[in-house]
Amino acid sequence: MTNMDSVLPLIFAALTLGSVLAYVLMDGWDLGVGILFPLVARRADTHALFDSIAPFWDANETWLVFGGMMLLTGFPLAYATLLPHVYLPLFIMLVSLVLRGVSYEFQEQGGALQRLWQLAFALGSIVAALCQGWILGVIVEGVEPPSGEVGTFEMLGRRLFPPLCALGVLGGYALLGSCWLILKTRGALQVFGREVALSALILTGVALAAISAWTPMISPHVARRWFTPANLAVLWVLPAAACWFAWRLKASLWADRDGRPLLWAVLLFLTGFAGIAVSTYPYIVPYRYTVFDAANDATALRFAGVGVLIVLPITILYLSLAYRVFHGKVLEQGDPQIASVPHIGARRTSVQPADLHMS
Amino acid sequence: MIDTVDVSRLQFAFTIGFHILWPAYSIGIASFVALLNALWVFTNRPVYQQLLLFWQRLFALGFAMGVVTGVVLSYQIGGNWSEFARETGPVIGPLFTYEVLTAFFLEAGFLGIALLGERRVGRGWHLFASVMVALGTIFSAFWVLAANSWMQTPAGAIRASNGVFHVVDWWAVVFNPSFPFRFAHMVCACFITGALIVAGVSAIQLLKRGTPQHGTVALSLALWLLLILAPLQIFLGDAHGLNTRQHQPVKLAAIEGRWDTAREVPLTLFALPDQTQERNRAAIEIPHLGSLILTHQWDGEVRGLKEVTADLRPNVTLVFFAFRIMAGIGFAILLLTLAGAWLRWRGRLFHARAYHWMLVFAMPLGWFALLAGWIVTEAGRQPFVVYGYLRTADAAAPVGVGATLFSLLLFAVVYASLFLGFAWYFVRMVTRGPEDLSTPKPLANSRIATVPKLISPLPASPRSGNTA
Repeated sequence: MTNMDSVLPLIFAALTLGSVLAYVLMDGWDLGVGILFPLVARRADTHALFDSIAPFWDANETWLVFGGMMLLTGFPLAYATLLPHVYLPLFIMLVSLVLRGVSYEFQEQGGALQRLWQLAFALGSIVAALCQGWILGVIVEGVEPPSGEVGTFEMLGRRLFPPLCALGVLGGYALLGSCWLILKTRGALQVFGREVALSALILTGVALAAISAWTPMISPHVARRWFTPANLAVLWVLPAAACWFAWRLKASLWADRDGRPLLWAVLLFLTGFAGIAVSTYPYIVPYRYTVFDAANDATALRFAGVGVLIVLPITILYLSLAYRVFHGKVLEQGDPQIASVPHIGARRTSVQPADLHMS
Repeated sequence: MIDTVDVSRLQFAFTIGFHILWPAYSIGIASFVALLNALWVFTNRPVYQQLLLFWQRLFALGFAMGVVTGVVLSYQIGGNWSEFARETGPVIGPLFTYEVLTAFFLEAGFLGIALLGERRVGRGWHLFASVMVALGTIFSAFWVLAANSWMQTPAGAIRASNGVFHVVDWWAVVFNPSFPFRFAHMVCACFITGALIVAGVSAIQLLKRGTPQHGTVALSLALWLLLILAPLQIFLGDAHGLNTRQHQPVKLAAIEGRWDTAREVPLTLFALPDQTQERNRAAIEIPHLGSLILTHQWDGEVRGLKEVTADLRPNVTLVFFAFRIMAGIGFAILLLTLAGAWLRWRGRLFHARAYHWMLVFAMPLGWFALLAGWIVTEAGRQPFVVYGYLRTADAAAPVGVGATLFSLLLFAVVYASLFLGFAWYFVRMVTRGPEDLSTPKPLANSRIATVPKLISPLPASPRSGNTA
C-alpha cells in the first residue's frame, strides 16, 4: 500500500461530503423557493419566483446524484448500510424530487394545468426537505447492527430526534429560499422574502440549538468529542460562530445589500454542517464503520479518481460561469430592459430556456 | 407469500423500465437533432432549421423525464439491493461514477449551449454542441451498459471469501465478453426508437396539414435511417444471440424453449413452456432452423435447460415470450420500412394516408421492443444478479416488505401521472407543429413572451442590474 492509497479514502470522504454540502446549499435555495411558493399570493410574483430558479435548479439537483455515486464508489459498505436504514424517508424523498422536477418542466409549458403543476412542485419541495432532515436525524442517531427489518418510520412518540431534524431542515431551506428571493427579486416579492426570512430564521435557530443540545446525549462518542477539555477549547468556536452569523443575518434582512442575507445564511449552514462532521468523524456510518473501514479498494478509488480529477474542476468552472451569466435580478413585466431587446422575447417562444440540464 | 425480494424486483423492473424509455428517446432524438443541425449548417435549407428548433423542444421534454427518473436508480441500488452494492461496489461504483461524470461534462457543458441557440454562439459552435450532446448520451449508455454487461458476463475481478469482488483488470471489466454486442444492439435500438417517433410525428404533420415541406423532409429522413437500421439491428441481434449461446447457454435455452441438449434442433415459433414438467405444449416448430440460426450450421448443437438443475433456471415462459415479442416487433418494423421504400419507389410516399396512419400507430413500437428485449436479458439472467456468482435472493437489502410495497405504490402513482403529463405536452407540441415556432407569437402564458429570464448571455443586451 503506497502512501497515496492511504489518503484516498480521505479524499473520497471529502468529495462525498463536498457534494452533499454543494447539494444542500444549492438545491437548498431552490427547494426553499418551492417551500415558500404556497405563501405567495400574487400571480405575477409566482412567475418571478419560478423565473428566479429556472436556470439553476436541475443543475443543483445533479449534486445529489454525484454525492450518491461518490458514496457508492468511495465507501460501498457505507452505501450498503446507510441506504436501507433510511429506506422510507429516502424513497419518499426521491419520489418527491421526481414529482418536483417534472412538475417544473410541465408548469413551464403553461396551459390549463399550470397551477396544478406548480402546487405539485411546492408539495414535492416540502416533502423532500422534510425527508432529507429525517434521513440526517436517523444517520446522526447512529446505525445499529441490523436485527430484522430496517428502514421504516418508527412511531413518532418513540423517536423525536429525526422529526426535529426534519423541521430544522425545512426551516433552513425556507431560510435559504427567502434569502435567495431577496437577492434575485425586487418589489413585493423581495419584501415577502425579507418578511418570511425572519420566521424561517427563528425556526432554523431553535431547531439548530435543540439538535446541538441533543446530539451529545445520543452517543458517548459525540459527548466525548465535544466535552473533552482539549477539544472544547477549540470547538466552542462553532456554536459561537453560528450565533454570530444568525445575528448578522437578522441585521442584514432589511439592509441595503441584497446579497448579504444569503451569505450569512450559507455561513450559518456551514457551521451546522461542520458541527455534524466534527461530531461523527471518523465514522461514515455513525458509531459503526469509520471512513477507513468502509473504503473501497485502492484500485477502484484510483480508477474513479482519475475521472473525477479531470471532470470536476471543469464542471465547477462551468457552473460558476453559469451562475455569473445568470446573476442579477429577475426581470418583471414593464422593465425597460425588456422593451429594448424585443428579439429576446421572440426567441423565448422559439426554443427552450437554456437550463443547465444534467443527469 | 410475497416477500421483499419479489417486491424489490418488481419495483426495480418498473422504475428502470420506465426510466429506460427516456434515455432511449434521448439517444435517438439527440442524434437526429445533431443530424438536422449538420444538414442545416451544410445545406443552408431553412426547412432544416425549422425542424431543428422543433425537435430540440421535443428532445428537451424527454430528456427532463430521463434526468429525474435516473436520480432514483442511483439510490435504489443501495436501498433495495444493499448486499449487491456491498459486494460489487469495487466494480460497478467506478463505472457508474464515469457515467455521472460523462453526463456532468458533456451534457451539462454542451446542452446549455445547444439549447441557447446559434444566435448566441455562432453556427459552428452550435453544431459542435449538438454533436457533443448526442455523443454524451451515447457515452452515458456506454458506462451503464458496461456495468450491466459485467453482471451478465463477469470478468476482470476476483471474489473474496466475504463475497466482495476485487478488480484486477479494468479493461477486462469494461470490455467484458457480452459488452460490445449489448452496447451495439442497444444503441441501434435507441436509434430505431427515435426514428420511429420522428416518422410518426412527421406522419401526423402530413395527415393534419397536407404535405408541408418539414413533414416530407423529416419523414423521408426517418425512413432512410430505418431502412439502414432495421436490417442492421437484426444482424446485431443475431450476433448478440451467438454471444449469449457461448456465455449464457441457459438464457439461450430459455429463449428457445429448449429443454434437452440436441443437434439439428428445430426453431420453435410458438409454444407454451411448462416449467414443472420440463416440456413445451402446443409447439409449432420448423425443423433444422434453430440450429441454423443459433449456430449457423445445419446440425449445430444447442444446449438445453436440463443441463442445469431446476433452481438454476430462469422463468422460461417470461423469457420465451418476451423474446418472441421483441423479435416479432423487429420484423414488423422491417416490413413497415420496406413498405415505405416501396411507396417511395412508386412515388406515393407522401400521399399514402393509410401508411401514414400506420406510422402513427407504430410510434411506440421501438419502446415495446426495447422493453421486451430488456426483459429477455434481465429475466434470462435469473436466478443470478451477477451471473454464476451472486443470487438475486441473496442480494436484497434487509428492508421490510411493507416499506417496499409502499415505495412501489408511490412510484406507480407518480410515474403514471408523469407519463400522462408527458403525453399531454408531447401531443400539444406535435399537433401545433413546427409552423408554430417559425411565426413567433405570444403564447397563452404571456410571461414567456415578455419576460425573458436569459438576459445576460447576449453580449449586446443590457445586463439586468442590481437595482439596490
